[in-house]
Amino acid sequence: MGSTQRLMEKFYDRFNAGDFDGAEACFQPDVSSAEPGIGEMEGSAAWRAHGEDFKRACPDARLNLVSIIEDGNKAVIEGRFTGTQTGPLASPNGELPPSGRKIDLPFVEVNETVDGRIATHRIYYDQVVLLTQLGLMPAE
Amino acid sequence: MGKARDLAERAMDIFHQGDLDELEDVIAWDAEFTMPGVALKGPAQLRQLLEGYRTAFPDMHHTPTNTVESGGRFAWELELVGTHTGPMVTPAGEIAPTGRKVVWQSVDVIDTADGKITSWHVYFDQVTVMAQLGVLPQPASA
Repeated sequence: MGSTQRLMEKFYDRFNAGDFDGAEACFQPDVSSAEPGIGEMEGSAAWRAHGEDFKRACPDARLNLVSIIEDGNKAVIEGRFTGTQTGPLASPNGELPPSGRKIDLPFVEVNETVDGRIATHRIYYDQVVLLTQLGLMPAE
Repeated sequence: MGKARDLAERAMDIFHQGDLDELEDVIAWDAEFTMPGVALKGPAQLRQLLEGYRTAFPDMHHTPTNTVESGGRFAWELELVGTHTGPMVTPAGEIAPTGRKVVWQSVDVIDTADGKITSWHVYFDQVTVMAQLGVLPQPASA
């Protein structure tokens, strides 16, 4: 197992447990993140606020590692985000009330680590899948 | 440069040049291909999908911006640029040509074995593409 896999497993485990101090410690303080619908986020505090928003919306939220390709300090991780939206979810169009809907969202993360912490962090997923699962876009 | 990367680059060259018969040389007969809204198996089904993209975006071009490789596995981040001058078939129906130039990013995660691609997972955000085409579905009323 590579060092980034150990780091990602720790990060996901801490996120799943709702331990945001532990999760944030997996990132460099000046980490640069990007995610669909959000855009660029600078710094670990910005990532943490976003992660906490999702955990508030889905208290059972889990990040699940499916596969990882490690190449030096770079890695690509396939994962699935699962959770049930039983809390309010902040969105660009205002706060969404709890829907009780289940989310099962495939995603990929592209990371670079520096000194054993995540220094860049780009997330890719399909917002159509997420919005459809939340009941905000008509099913195909 | 490893063999998995060579295969990914060859598949991309085949797409750009349009010699889609050659897909069989690089895609295993039972290869699994997924992208948002799509799950396919084997080179013939993949060929149909790629022909659809070449019809919708005849000038479509991929530029790798980052690559990782380990063993028989390879992934790249890509910037895709295309002008929507042909009908585009989507899981939600056909979109008439808009003439718009669209730019989006994707990640391909590719597994290889015995000199062929056995699995190819594409991750991108359809909302980013649909917004640029001006065809974003209206949100359902909450």
